[in-house]
Amino acid sequence: MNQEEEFENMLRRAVDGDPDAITYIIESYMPLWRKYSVIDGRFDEDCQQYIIMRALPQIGRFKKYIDQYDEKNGK
Amino acid sequence: MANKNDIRWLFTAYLDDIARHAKIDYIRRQRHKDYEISTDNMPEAPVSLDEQIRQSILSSDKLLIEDPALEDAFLALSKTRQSILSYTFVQNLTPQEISAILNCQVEYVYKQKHLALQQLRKLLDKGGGPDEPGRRI
Repeated sequence: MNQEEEFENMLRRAVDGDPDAITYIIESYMPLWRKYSVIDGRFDEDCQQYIIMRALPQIGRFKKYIDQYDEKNGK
Repeated sequence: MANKNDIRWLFTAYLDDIARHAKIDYIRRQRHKDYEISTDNMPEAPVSLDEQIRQSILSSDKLLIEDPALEDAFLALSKTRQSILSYTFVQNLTPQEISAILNCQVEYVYKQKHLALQQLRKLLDKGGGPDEPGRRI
């Protein structure tokens, strides 16, 4: 299994609510959280926590896009 | 090379959008909170809560909080939230390590840490300690 396949597999598991996969996804996107947690040129840890807290419940809602993707690609 | 049809690309764009909106929301909330706080008792150089906790807690496993108001507020938190703050700021453990110690999910650690800091701020604004004697939040 290559890196892309592994990521896709973990993403599908995360969307289905697998805690390990969710952790993997959150960790994988740490640079994204950090990028948006810089306010006035300074890293704000509370902001990062807030962003992650907001993103966590949205991971499951990506399922509809996966379904659309699968339908489009005949999976 | 990722293209716009990749599932990873779609998901990254999806999260990027969420993170951008969350940041805007966070800044709005912070500004709104700034308006609510009286400036009468503001220190000359405001110190972040994280820094206050780091400064107030000695670098040992035993918790010694020098600021009485912060100590009262800290003790008003539930034991779990106290532990999470202690593991985070005293022992510098990652959320993953804390979740392993507490035998809970990582998201729970993130959430409890966020809520604990939020409660500490509220309690410190009110002068520390719970609303009712002996009541833990």
